[in-house]
Amino acid sequence: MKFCTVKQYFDDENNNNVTNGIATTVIPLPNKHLKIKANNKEMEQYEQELLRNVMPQELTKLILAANYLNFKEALDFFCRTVANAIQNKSVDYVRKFFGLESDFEPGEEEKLCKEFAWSFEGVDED
Amino acid sequence: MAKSKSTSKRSKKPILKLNRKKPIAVDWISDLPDSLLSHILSFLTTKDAVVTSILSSRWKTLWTLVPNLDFDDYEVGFLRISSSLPSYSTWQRPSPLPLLKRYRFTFPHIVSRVWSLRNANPNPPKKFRLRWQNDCDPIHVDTWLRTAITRGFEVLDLDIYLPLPDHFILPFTLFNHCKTLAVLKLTGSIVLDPPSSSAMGFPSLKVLHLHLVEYANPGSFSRLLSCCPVLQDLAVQILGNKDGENNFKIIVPTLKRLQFCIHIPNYKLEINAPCLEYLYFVGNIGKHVLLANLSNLVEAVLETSDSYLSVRCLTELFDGFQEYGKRVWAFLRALYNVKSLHLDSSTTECLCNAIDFDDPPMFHKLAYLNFGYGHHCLMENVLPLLLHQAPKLAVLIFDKKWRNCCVDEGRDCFSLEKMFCEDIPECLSSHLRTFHFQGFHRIKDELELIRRILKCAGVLKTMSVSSYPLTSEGKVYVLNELLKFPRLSSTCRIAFN
Repeated sequence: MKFCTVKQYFDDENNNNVTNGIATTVIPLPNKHLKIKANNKEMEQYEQELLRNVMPQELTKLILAANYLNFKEALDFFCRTVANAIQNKSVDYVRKFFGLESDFEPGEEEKLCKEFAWSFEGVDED
Repeated sequence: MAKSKSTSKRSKKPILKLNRKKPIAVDWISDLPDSLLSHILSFLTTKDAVVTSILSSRWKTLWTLVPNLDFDDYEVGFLRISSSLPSYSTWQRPSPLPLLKRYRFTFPHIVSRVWSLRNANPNPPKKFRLRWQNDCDPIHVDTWLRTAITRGFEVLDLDIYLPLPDHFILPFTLFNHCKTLAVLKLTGSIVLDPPSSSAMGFPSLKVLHLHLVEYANPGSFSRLLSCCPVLQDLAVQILGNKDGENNFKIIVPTLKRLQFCIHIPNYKLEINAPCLEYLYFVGNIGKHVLLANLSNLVEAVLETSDSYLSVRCLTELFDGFQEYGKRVWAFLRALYNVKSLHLDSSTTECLCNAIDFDDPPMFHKLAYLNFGYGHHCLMENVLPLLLHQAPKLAVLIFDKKWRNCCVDEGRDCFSLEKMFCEDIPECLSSHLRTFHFQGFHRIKDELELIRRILKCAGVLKTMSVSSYPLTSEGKVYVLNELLKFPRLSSTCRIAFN
């Protein structure tokens, strides 16, 4: 099942993909998930707590770890957390959030903005 | 506005809202491969995903990798008047909220443009969702649908509104070539005309939701169902027009969940679903309703009323109510094996009207009962009767809906008479663990009901009361009264809010 990769990980000592710290966050997730599977509100609260305590860089590592371990629920959970954080936010906000910088030619960005102006409708002013 | 003039030349370490303590280095997201980035984007609507194409050159086409496409004309380019979207009433198609502002681009223009940009991705989308309620053009819908239907197509969700007498007919290609379709949801001005070809069918379809759609011929509905060999979740809401389909055969051996909503006076319904676990029935129970083979049913929710009784003449009225009440009891009989039952206030009123029903069903496995209460004054018969028929009941929720007739506190809302004084139901004395009274009004009969239950509930652990807003003196008074009542169960806790 999904834990065969976990077993593999524990068997393979020199594993660069998943550091110990990440493992301690990811592994207890199935139990937590099963417990609060039905309750959406609790899930949201847990999500908020996770976001507060976890640095974004770790979130990347968590996503990579969940992907490597083939742990679909955890992967969906972390990805959804990132998606919720950028949902309906302005381009500037998302850039700041991800730490990205624009590498477009001058004018190219303006062109794109014009083309997709309709998608900015109702965006959070932030 | 969405975009500000200044870009980049700020500090290299932007401080993020997440964690104010330490500013972190730039660009933590780019470590992720394209596949995971597009997985993140798949949780956004297409509108939000497209915005990311402006983030940087790497992100320009990432959104095209997302296997879903969804378009909603309320989201894209049009302002909503109110924050709540129209919800369909049970049997009519309401006209959509009018547009407040028309954007520069039209909706079909936007959708076509996004489609063509997305074609940069050779893999066609797996999920396609479209809601188009204002100025919908069926030709466009047909075109996009045909483009979406390709190998590997898994989810289709269409919500269309066209003013009468227009409608959108689903293309045959949907019925003949969607062998991987797992979820199909259709709402609104859509006509289903399943062709008679042998290629017709949905061998992978697990979820089918049909809301207020029309069926081209009598028998279209049943024929469609018969070609869904692995169907598990079916939700049907019947459009209330006189000439529509009125013969519904739901004989699906794999069905686990069924929601059926119907408000037409004359129809035939047959449900035979041995794997059914959840049933939600809303509407009026017709004369020709046949339920069979529901022994695996776990949970049932019933919201029924005969909305057509008011049309009959007065002399027939009493017989009519009684006749209908018997039908409700007969319906309940088929649900004899449920563990959880939810009866809304109109349903319990109907049961009241035929209280001398011969041989009421026994619910041997019923552990959870949500009993909705309206304002009928013969309630002292129905609740105890049901409790007698449910010997293993562990959770009872009494849900009282506020009605104008109960405003006067002095007047009794329901007469308790001898309820629970003698002949105490077995579940009360030896099984009931939780009793929740919702919609408490501080009327004296309500307190009396609670008192009587506390007196005979032998293993009750929790008694909780939720009330309509009370003054703080009122709250104190009620809580004191509740705590004063003698409790048979020593482990009983009382909660009040």
